[in-house]
Amino acid sequence: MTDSATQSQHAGPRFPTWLRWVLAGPVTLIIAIATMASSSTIGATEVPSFNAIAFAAISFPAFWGAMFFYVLLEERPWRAVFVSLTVIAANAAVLYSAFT
Amino acid sequence: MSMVDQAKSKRLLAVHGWSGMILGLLLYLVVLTGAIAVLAHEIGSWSTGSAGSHDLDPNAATAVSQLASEVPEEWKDEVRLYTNMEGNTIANFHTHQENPASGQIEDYGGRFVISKDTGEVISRTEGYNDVLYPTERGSALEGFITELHINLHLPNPWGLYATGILGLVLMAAAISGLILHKHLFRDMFVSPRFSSMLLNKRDRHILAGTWSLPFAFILAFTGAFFSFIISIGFPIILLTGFGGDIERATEMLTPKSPLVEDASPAPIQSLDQIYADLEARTGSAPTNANIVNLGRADSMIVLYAAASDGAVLGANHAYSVADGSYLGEQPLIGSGENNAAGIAFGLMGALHFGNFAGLLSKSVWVALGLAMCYVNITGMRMWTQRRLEDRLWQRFDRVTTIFTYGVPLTMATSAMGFFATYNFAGDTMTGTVIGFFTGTVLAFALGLRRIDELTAIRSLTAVLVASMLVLPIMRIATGGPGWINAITSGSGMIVTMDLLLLITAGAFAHREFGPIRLPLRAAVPIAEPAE
Repeated sequence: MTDSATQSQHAGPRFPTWLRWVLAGPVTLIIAIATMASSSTIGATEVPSFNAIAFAAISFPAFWGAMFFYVLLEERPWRAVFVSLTVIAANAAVLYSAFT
Repeated sequence: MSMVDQAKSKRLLAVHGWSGMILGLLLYLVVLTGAIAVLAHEIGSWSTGSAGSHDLDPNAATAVSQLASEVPEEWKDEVRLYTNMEGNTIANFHTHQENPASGQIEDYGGRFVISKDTGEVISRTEGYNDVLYPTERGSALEGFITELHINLHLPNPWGLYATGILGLVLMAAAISGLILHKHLFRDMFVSPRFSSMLLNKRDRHILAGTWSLPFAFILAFTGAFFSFIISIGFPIILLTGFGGDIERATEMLTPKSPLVEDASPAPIQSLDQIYADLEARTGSAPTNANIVNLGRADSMIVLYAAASDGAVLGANHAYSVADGSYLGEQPLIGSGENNAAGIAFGLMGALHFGNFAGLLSKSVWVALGLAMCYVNITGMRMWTQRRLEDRLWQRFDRVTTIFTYGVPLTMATSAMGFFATYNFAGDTMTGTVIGFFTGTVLAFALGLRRIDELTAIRSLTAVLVASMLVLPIMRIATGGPGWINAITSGSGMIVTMDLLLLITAGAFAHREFGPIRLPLRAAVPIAEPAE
């Protein structure tokens, strides 16, 4: 089965190829940075946890790799868009709550 | 069986191929310089003709104590001690204050060079970071190669962004390569076919790629981490975790002193005795030290001792400077309690630099790094040679050839530039940079001629081999120690590096000009000459 056939079977409206590359490129990078930022606040009270900060930084390439390959291999590309936006929103919420 | 269906394989193959094509040449540059930079310390020793020991010199201890009574009181807030490539001790006495030129809080104080031969101060300078931490003359070559690997000599943070993205690209290529393997274990032992040039290249690419996959992943992961942690990670975490408060962040990242604050004056315990005690405890001599509050009762010295007795990581050890008592091991970063992340940081460094088991692990890292270069270049070759009917790809194929031989050639000419200046009181960094650009111009001048591919490869190989053969001669002719002198003075590494160059040159010459020729070489389709 070809790529386009797979897409048409799962994706409903045709999903532009360029959008998948935008998702896999800059969007996953933004998600990885946002996830690193928000996970560094985990367990923080007045003073941030050193372990949380350090592991957030160490995990940055893993955050990127996980999102990159998910977006690339997801059969339903619109679901990849939805998941990406959800992850961004969740990170934004964590960061907002950490600052307020 | 492949782990994914045909459509996904197609996408992965596109990622694997196009990412390699678009950034493959830069990736080759970064991986090859990284493989060489694993031996940065050895290169420094070889290029300067020194024994290469970075252990702190006990003979400089008296001069440090003497300086403590001469320098302004505020410069004793912090003192950094380390040994330069020539074996002289550098003592940086400093405080922290805003540099009017940069507007940043920087170290300000005096930089004193203490001779390894006489134990006396032979140089004094005063200023901010640029004066306290200049590029050492003897470290110009190793520094140039290392910086090329770290940031491509681009201004920060752009250079770090570039190498960070290259790290992620390498990670994507490694993981997609793993997923695309249909028969992983069979591929580990595939015998390259000789029925066609392209199949042979493919088999060799798969063979080398399969073995270096785990290593490529480790290097890519740790490399991306190091590039992004400095350029993006720390600034963002500083903002999210500390609200931009640098002082709070520094306080958390800096190990705590076990001593109670006490500003009353106190004598300075002999540092050479502290060095000796540390060596007796750990089996390793200290390689650098940091003293805080020198001359006060709460003064502490933290010394770094490399890993010994099978340990993977080195450690910091603290002593009281006032009475010389051992205060215990200190974490490399962060607080002492529950410091799992500090250990993880250390492991990231050990895995990236390959320095966890001395020269043995370094040799393995160099070999696997070179295997990755081979995978990189053969992958690009397979891509371009399938498209050689297109003139654009013919040109790209030629540029790939130029890079393949040109990058090691520039490393050799950089070393020539260093040798031409080091023992003649010249600016070694300028010499190294001129050497690098000379090699670059030479590689492009040879490679862009209107000749067939085989002739281009042979002429580039000939120059590369000649430059490698010339290096040991040039090193000795410009004042470096000869082999007998090097061995008798305990600098066997110099001879080893010379031999490595000669063996590598011989291998290149044998491959290209030797009596045994690969039967496929004659069958290589000759590309249209580049225009």
